[in-house]
Amino acid sequence: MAVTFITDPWAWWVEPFVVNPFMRNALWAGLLAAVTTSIVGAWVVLRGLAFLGDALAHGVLPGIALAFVIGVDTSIGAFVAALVMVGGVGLIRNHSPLPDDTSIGILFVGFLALAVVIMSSQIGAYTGDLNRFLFGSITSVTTAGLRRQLIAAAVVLTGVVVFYRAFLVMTFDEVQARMLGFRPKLANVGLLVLLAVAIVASFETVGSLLVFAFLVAPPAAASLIVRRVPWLMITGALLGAVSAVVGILLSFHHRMAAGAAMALTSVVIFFVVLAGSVAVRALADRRRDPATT
Amino acid sequence: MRGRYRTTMAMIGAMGLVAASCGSDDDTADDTADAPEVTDAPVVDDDDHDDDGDDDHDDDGDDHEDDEDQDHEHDEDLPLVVATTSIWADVTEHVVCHGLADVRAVVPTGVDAHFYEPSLQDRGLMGDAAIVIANGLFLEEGLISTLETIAAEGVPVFEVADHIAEPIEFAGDHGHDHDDDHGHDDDHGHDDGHSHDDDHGHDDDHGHDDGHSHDDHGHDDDHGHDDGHSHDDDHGHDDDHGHDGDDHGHHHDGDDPHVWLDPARVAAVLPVLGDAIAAATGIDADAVAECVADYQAELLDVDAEMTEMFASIDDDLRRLVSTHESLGYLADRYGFEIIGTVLEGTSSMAETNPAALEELANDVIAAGVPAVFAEAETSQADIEALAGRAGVEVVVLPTEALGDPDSGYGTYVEFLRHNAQLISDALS
Repeated sequence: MAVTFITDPWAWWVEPFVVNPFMRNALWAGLLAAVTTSIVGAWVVLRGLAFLGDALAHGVLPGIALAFVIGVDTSIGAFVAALVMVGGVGLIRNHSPLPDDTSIGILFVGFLALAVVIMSSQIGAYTGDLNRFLFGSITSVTTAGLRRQLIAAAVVLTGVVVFYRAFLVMTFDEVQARMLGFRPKLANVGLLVLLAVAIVASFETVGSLLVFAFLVAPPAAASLIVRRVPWLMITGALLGAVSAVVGILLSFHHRMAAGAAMALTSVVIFFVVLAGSVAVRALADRRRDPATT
Repeated sequence: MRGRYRTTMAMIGAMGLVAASCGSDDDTADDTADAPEVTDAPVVDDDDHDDDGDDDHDDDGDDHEDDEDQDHEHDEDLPLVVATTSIWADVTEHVVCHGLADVRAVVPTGVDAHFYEPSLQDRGLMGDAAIVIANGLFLEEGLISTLETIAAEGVPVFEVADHIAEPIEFAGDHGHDHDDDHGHDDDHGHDDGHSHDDDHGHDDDHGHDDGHSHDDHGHDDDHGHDDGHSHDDDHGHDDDHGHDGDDHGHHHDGDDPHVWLDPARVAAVLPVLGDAIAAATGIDADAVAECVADYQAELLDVDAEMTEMFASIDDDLRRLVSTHESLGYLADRYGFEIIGTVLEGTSSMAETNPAALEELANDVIAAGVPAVFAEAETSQADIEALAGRAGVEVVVLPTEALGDPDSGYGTYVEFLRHNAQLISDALS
């Protein structure tokens, strides 16, 4: 086994970033993506919005495809598509008795099919860049991309702080939220917009398929460790950051596809935390048992 | 294109299918491994390929400390030349005389460049290179943005397809014109090729190549491709490093990236490639020119051999049906007609549909060809359905990448012979 990361921690963990400018770029991009999505992800996990997160992470594709066709910035296309999807879910909810996951599923499929139709109608048009949006390109981070991520991170952080009480009350008791004058619908829209911002800002780095991993895995792992919501966001962001760093280093040292390495790391961390929490609970039970008997 | 087709699948199937499609790249290589084989290809490369493989994969195994050094910094004093695909790495290895430079491939053997996702190690390798040899025309979809980034950092990127004489468009667009133009020998529409080359300032080399590659072997000049030329002018500015981020999407519409399937065209590019490598690395240009001449001769021999192999095919069976539009250069060079492809167009989201498949099956029956061609690196479900309906055989060709050294197509020369043999056996 390669245990360089223990025997020679400097060479494994630090040196790649010191020596290679592109590794520093990748690090910043990965950290910003992980932190941004994991903070919003805390609310996604708390509110059971994982499916919507998945749908959004892929629902941006027709927007990107359309943006290609008409030649505008793909981030704008992606953001508009995300908003349309969020609006669509709300529309179906207001006009039917269907549960949310059904309406999300319908829009999810509709958006993917739309992306396919748009691209298929452009026979001969080059669309290879779609790869970049599916799988990300942390190997080619640009300053402009970093700036965009930084802005998104700032928006998300500000939003989460400003709406914190509203989100909190809405999450646990919508009726009380209304009584307290929080306007849960508005807060809900606010959360979904933040979600869209986090996804759109991150998919160029880690890819839309893998944004979803950062969105759920680190906060889910965090929810097994901590209870209070602020700690959930902080721990989730930290675990996301660790996933990004380890994934980047794995990709560097062991030649793994970069975006997938990060996503895989976040999922592995989740299972490690899960195993740890099961073990801790078992230990606690055993300690309690002799006392009760 | 198949990579793009997979992209579609990946989207629809979301996460799970991604892993699946990555893993399925070479699962059919075996199908072709037992085909008749031709001997006597240079063996030197095989060793080199081995080295690459070992460095990259074994480091999980045992070498503890020098992981990093070995993997992305080349240890020797030789200049580092990185090629994106196994095919161009093998060609480059010949150009640098097997040892004047340290040649590495990014995409491993047996893996389709269309769909390769780079690691950060690959990024480091490309960034450290004295020059990067890429195919271009968006063959390496997953590497495009990385190539742009390193080019912006000042690493020269040589895109072979940009220097290919008489680029052709995907056959599907012009399939039938193609046929009409057969035999209209407007010999050396190559002069067009020259004006293209002038942009790059490499006309001398080409002048000399034309002599070789085209006069010797009769049937190369069936250009239904004049529009290919005017098209070409559009991206004359693309020479080497001018990747201009946003609008590249619309420049290369329809140009076929699979240029390596015509060894004569590849031979014609070698001097330019050699010059570019010598200039970027500072290695002995005269030695390179000599090795280029040798390898050109070898490729032209193979070209003649292939012509001979194909000569056994009846004229009315010189018709190809394949999974995606990858055989255009082969068809152009050796006088085949492309009747159709299962995956139409070049859109990444293109899907086949039952009506088109039915129509294609009827075309296959009408053409009376005994076989259709699948690609080793691609899913064969659709083409098998087609073959079943038309009652013909499916022959699997490795069109996108070299195989392992013992696969029978571990070098470019072996690869060409292997494909030629499979096609001529299937259609004779």
